[in-house]
Amino acid sequence: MMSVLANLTARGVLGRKRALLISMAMLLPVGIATIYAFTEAGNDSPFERAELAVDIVNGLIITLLLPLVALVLGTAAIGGEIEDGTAVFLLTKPIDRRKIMIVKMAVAAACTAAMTVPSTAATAWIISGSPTRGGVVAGLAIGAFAGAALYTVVFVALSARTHRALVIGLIYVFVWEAILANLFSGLRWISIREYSIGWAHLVMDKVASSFTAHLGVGITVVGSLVVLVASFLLGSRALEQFEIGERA
Amino acid sequence: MNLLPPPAAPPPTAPLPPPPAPPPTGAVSMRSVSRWYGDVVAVNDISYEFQPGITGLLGPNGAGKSTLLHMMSGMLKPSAGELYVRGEAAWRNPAMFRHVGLVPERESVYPFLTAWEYTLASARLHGLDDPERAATEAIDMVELGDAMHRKMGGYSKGMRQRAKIAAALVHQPDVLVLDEPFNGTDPRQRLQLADMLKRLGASGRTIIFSSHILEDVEGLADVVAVIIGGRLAASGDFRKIRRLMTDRPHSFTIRSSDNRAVAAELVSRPEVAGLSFYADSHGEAMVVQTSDFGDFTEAIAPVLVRTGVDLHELRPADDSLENVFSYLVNG
Amino acid sequence: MSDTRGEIYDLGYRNYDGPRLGRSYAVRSLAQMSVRNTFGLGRGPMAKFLAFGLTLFAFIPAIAQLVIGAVVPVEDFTFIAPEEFFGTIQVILVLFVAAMASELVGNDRKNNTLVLYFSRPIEKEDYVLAKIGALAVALLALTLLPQLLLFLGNWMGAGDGTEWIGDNWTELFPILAAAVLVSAQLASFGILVAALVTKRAFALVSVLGGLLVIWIATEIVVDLTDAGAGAIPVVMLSPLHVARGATLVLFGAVPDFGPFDATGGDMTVGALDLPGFVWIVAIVVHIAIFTALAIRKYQRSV
Repeated sequence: MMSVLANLTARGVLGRKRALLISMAMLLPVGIATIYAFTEAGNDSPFERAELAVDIVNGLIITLLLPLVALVLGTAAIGGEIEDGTAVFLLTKPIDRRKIMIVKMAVAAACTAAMTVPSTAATAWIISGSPTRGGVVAGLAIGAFAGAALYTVVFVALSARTHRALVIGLIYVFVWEAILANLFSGLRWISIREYSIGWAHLVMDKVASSFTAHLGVGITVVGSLVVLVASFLLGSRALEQFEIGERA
Repeated sequence: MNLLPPPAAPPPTAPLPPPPAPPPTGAVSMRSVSRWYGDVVAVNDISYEFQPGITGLLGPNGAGKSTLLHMMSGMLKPSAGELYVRGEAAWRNPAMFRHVGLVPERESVYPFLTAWEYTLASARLHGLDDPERAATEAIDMVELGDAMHRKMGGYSKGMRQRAKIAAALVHQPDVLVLDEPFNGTDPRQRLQLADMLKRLGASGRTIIFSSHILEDVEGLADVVAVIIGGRLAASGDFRKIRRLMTDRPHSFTIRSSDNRAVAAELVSRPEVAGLSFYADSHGEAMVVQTSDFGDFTEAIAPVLVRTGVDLHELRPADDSLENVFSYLVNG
Repeated sequence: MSDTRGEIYDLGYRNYDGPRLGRSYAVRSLAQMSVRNTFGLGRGPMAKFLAFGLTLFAFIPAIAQLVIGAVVPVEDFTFIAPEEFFGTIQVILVLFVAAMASELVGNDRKNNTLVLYFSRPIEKEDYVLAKIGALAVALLALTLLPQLLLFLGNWMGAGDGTEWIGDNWTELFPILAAAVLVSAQLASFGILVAALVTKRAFALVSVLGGLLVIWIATEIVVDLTDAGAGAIPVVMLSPLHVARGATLVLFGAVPDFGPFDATGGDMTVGALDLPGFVWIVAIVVHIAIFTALAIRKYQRSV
């Protein structure tokens, strides 16, 4: 039963050339890394390269591409089904709504991770020139993985509750995380980006100033768990209370 | 002489608890079910028991049929009242779907799946023991065997409809709810679908389908429930309701230059059930009750011509559908 | 009482003999309606809120400057130079284009009204041009009006009005030209991407994401290549950079400095050290290509 759900979700989320387009977009950082490797790389010290890797991955992927991909895939997992009407197919089955929610979240998060983590690792590796220096590649990959999971799960839950999930998600990423959390450090602990950075720093030395972890290990872990569990519970409840929308 | 003191008043007793509500008897049972959206009332205080067999939900567009069907299938929460399916509440009860199948009106198929995959997925999601066999039987029942390995994105509307039905039937539900299943079907498909539903209904299942077209309901439904403006306007045997509609008296208001002369002519006619007069600011008017709308309309013109009166007004007094059905509902 | 003959009755059906206003009227009407839709007229309150909210945000720098200029007793106070204006409101412009382009294109697709449009005397190219034109006009509210407000405000606040106007009236040309070019460019880009992406919601993300990702990627590449020749093709592909470049050139304010030290779009433009007309040509080419591709998309498949 779960594998059927997983299969349907995966095909729905990655269908319609979405996988292709997103993959192409995720090749961009790798392309930039390659350009760098062939041009400037020779001039920079290993330390500078590691720092640059962090800067570029942070600026391009973690801040921008990752949340956007998570938004697109996460809202497709449930919101897309609701809009298409196939959610009714799933919900008229004797399946616990929590099971449905967890499968959707897991699959969507896995898809996001699959789309983003390899690109992150490759970009970081190519730029820094070494797979292990400063734990940059591993750290960024872990940070990206955490971000993928957290963002996607939140967006899945959100799209189960409201059909405006996409707009709200955009506002969260581009207003809350980009502006407010940077301005008011007190708000930093309500930022998935900060959690991602926190996770990255579990294995990564402090390499670049733009990538400082503002949250300690404890908060990162606990906060991430809270986000995951809360999203799961709220999303499940939204599914339990799902009402078919009347056409205008 | 009565020396005994009057007997003391009996001690006050606590009021008896209300008798338990009788258990719902029909497969789908509703009591005072209503559903509103803000100020708009979509379903208005409907109480009804759906019995096994085929029940047709008839009513004009926007009458509340879909809303009712969605509430029955756990896809919508009633704003008021109680709705039971096989004795259990329909809302927030996923286990109910073991015995209930819904064929929604809106699109609900995955375009990238074939009908076979779709039905098989439905069987698997229901947790059936032998999903392949159930899926095969369901596909055969809706006669999609030829096309079942093509992606549903390329299906015609009728084929998608049949795929939805197969997926809703695959677990042999006791209750099958179909929302406007005949929409957009051609005559051949309509016959096939009607045949299939008849067979299912004969096997003891409760089949409930909605339509706004009389003919769809006519040959198929054992029992009809008529929904108008969110209210249950009529229910029961379709032919009886139909007869009631034509048997109801109609009243007409007539003003002419000599009402009494017209009345004298009319009173001898069989299709006239009653005559009365009243006066208002425009003068005297005559109200004619007829028992047969058709015959009366044929008869009135020659009568008027024969009596040679000047006709000022000839108006049916209660011709709105609402009036008709309120008449039905009230008596 | 059935008649075995058949007859068609004259119910007074009338031909329309009035003027038929033809294609240009249809196109103009479509464009007009699209502009209205952009600002939420004819849509729900949320759309109005969004449109006017973003527009208001675009006015804030201008208003801020006017207010501060009135308070601070400095002659010719410039808080934000006109050529920097687009840089300041860049995010707002991007949001506006993304939201509105996806609306304009997506709604017709979702409601299946495209078939209706094309069964009227509107050709595919008319439709696309009308939509792009409408979005560009709407964008002018954000690119042109605040600048004009600022201009007027400065004029009012100037010590000697006639003298000020004599010195500064030439500013109006670049203000107008830059606003028109940038609006047209962003509009055509937005409509193109929205047309290519099938779902309306994803169109928004694609336009937004596309512009921003290309922006950041370009910045990185320029940084990596130290504004070398290799960076030029990349920069030319970035709509926002080309817009900046054209604006700076029109205002004659391309930053001019030696060793490369890019810290932002304007600096990037300056660092590339290209002759001014290149940027102008680039933005015009952008407009032409985006429009042509959008038209081609609709001609190939509606």
